[in-house]
Amino acid sequence: MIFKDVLVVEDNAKDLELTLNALGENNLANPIVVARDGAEALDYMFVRGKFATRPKGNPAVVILDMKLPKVDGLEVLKRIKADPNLKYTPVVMLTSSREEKDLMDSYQLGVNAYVVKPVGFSEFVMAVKSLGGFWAVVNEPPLENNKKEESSNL
Amino acid sequence: MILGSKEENIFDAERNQEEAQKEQALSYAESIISTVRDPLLALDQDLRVVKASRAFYEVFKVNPQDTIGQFIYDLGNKQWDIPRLRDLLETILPKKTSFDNYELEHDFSTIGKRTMLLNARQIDEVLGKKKIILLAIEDITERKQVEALKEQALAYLESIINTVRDPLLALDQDLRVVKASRAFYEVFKVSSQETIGQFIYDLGNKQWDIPRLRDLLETILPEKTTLENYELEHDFSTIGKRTMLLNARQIDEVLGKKRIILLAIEDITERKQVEALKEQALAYVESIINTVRDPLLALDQDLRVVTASQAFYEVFKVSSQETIGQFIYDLGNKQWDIPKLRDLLETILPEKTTFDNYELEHNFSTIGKRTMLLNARQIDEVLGKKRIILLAIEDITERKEAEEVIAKLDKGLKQRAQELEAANKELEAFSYSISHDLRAPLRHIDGFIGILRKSSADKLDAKGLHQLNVISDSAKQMGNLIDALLFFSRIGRVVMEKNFVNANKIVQSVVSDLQPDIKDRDIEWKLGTLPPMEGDPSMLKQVFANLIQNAVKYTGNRLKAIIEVGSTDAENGEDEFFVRDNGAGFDMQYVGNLYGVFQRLHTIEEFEGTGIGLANVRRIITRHGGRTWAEGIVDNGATFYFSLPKPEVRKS
Repeated sequence: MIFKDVLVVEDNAKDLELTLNALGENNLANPIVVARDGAEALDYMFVRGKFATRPKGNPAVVILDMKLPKVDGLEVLKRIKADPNLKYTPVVMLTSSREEKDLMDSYQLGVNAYVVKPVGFSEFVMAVKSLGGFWAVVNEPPLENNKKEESSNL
Repeated sequence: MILGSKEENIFDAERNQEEAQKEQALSYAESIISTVRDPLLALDQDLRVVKASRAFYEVFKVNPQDTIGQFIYDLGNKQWDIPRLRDLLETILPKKTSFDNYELEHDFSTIGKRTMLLNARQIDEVLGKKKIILLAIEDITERKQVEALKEQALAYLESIINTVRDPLLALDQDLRVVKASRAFYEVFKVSSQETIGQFIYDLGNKQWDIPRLRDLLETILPEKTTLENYELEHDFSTIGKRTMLLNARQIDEVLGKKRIILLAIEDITERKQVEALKEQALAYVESIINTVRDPLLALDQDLRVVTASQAFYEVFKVSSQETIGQFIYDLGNKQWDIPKLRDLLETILPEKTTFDNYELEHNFSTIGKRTMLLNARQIDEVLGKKRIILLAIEDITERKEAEEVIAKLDKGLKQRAQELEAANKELEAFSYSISHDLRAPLRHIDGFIGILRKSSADKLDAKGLHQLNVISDSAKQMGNLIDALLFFSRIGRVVMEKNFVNANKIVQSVVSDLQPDIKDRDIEWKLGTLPPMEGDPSMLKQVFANLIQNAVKYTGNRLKAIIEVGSTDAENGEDEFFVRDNGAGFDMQYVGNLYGVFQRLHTIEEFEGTGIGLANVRRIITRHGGRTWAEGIVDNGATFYFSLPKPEVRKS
């Protein structure tokens, strides 16, 4: 069985460490791939640049921070959801922002979940753990390689 | 006629006596013949003239020498040799011995064309002749002419009577109808049978028996013989209430009557109505002109003032004497002789018949520099003029000045608003950055303490673990404070909805949300019926949530908590709401601090909390146009009040 990647997009090293620590609690079989800014995240998604040689296939879930260098989280989300090949890939916003505007913008762009990073560590672990477990294990993603059909629908 | 007396028999015995008598009779007859006013001829059986009256010689301008003994047809150049006369004398007379009133028209050589009326008698044996014809000749030429004229006049009159458009009556001296025009029958819906010969007052159910008409016909007309344009308003039985214009003439000896009254009746009801309407319209227009608050001029086609409103005189400080009839440019020291106005009135208006809101700045000699707003309409045929220009003049000087001030203020205000918006944006960015950047380190502190606790718990003693907990709690507490502050800032910024809100439902929902936290508490809820509120539903729920949560919190050390939610109808157009508890209360001297941000009257150890809840309440209520206040006694409960404007009553 091939386990799909979990893509974590996080610029802050400390947050990244906490997130990876929390995800580790799941003992996920899925490989965890890290992108440190929006541009890298897009490179991964579109299999180019640093990720040009990665094995094909979309990730099981993209865990996306909002505030990112180069290309910000909302823009990454927008491009993923605008691409016929990528748009069914689950994207979860994991962010410090409780701003309603950010929340609404994300949902309008088609985000699959929006999680505010709790200040308390145990709550944070609980949140990340459960979303990792849900999207990587429980959730059934759509079948891929429906390229032509999808494009014709756009 | 004496001359026509019967013949007498002559007896021999009385011959002398008879002769004498004869002589007498003859001279008598002769004297008669001489005295009759009309020409008279006595002819013998041979139609020779035996005798002629003096009138004969005078009328036919002949003398006895040329007449007596002459054959009648030879008289005066044979002017009597007329076939018709021959016929009368030689054929008719011998048979009938008389003829009467025989008209003979003939061109006599002595007296021209005349019409003679002939009467003849044949008498036997008189004047010493076996047979005498008496021929009376009456010259009726003039009489015939007069009669012809009379007939012509009559026909003319009748034709006039019948052709006049208006009802016309010809009355005789007894006021009986001699003649009525066709229009009379039509207008009054009567027939000629029930009209001609009738007494005027009896006509059509006596509808003409009007005291005023009696007065006119019986008193005024006989005196003045004429009556002009007399208005008579009357309710006629056939045609209803009408106004008639009466004209009458009294004419002597016409139509075979001694005196005739011609009475022309014109129905002017509609005309009067139209005139009344016209007058009303005119009065209306004038009243409009005079009631408008702004100066208004009505000009004729020559741009002379026909009417000016009262306001015109007042504003421009001129009198009507120096205004009405004046050329507009000459008004008030020619202060209206303005090129722009000339252009408007003489060029633009004739083309477009109207102009609107034309601003005119001008230095008027009477009132100084002003800005006027001109509106004009050109109207055809009104006020008895072919063309009228209505020119409304509004002094907008003050308004313009005010507008300039407003524009300046507006500009300032806009600038202020822009600045405010920029500041708001900055604040938003600031709070965004707080929410992101300030919380991240806290999360890291707690996160790594969590990792440390997990990985190194066995290496730390109880004291060390406690200190980790304190660090962790502090980080969390600061996170809560930041969250509260962000919420507070958001309440002030977000756009509010404005809906009707059922306060009772909100309170119910707040209380039911609290249930998991208070399942171990003994709380008596006194929830009164609250009036509807108007505002942002989620914000108003936040208010009740904060106040009720506070009440629950500050009654935490009561065995039995009593929490009351109620309202009162304030008389100033507001509804007042309150949440009352029997909890810890507060010292009224610190009541001013209650609603401040992060202001607390108790320690965290006593009652936990961020100290921002009441600040949120005040901010929300203030944004809704209401007020907040509180009453409390230390250890004896507190009441928190807020008021809201009553909802606007809306239909639907």
